[in-house]
Amino acid sequence: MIGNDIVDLQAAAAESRITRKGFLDKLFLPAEKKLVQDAGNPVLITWLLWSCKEAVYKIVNRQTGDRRYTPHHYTVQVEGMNDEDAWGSVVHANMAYPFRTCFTSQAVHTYAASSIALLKQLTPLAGCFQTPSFTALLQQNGRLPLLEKLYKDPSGIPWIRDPHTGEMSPISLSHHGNYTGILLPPGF
Amino acid sequence: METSVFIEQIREIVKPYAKNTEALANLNTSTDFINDLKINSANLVDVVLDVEEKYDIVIQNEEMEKMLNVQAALDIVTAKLKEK
Repeated sequence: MIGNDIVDLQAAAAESRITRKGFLDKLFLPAEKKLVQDAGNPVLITWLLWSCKEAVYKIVNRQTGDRRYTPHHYTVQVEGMNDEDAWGSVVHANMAYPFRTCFTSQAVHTYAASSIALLKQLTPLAGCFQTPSFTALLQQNGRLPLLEKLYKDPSGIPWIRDPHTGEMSPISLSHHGNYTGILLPPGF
Repeated sequence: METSVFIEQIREIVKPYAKNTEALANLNTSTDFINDLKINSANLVDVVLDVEEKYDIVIQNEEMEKMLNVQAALDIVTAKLKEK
């Protein structure tokens, strides 16, 4: 299973006060909070950690249907980071989900999977796109034939159909502020 | 606490975060913060913190887990105020 999350840093700055009392305590575990507090850019690390938890929440939610708001049940372990990327894993219920994050000057985009082998086969797309819908965006990117659309199962999870094999695979969609993040399944 | 009083108070609390103004206007006990009001998940923690401040209570993580809709928030606040 796969999941992705994008944070528009400008929108996040307008919508959230990460310095408000209790904010970090409610969202993060002590080691994660320390990572934020020790960081040269605490804002960026806050949204890195949050996007990791959200991306993996989407996987867990798809697997279990569980909607509970439990950021403290997701432990982010950042193994490496530079100006452009971060990588590591998020542990939830004794399962480790590998993630990869891409930083741009305006957004943080994290994608995750249930295994490292699956993560390596995924194609992330992220950017500030002026398109009305995920379907239109995928069509413009040549990832989806013009007559094809995305499908939603009864629980609202989007799926994409491989035009060659007809096989359906889950796709992960994220939107925040002016930014859109998409995670395509293997083969796309 | 009277449900109607709580509805008005919680409406004021969620107003800055709610992206669906129609759902905000029609707020009721079954209104879901994320699915109906389109509050982004990072702002759900602000709703929890604002509720704590408004009623001078402390909401534990195990209680926050369930605070996804107005009824759940009302149940938590009512239980916490009784403990006082």
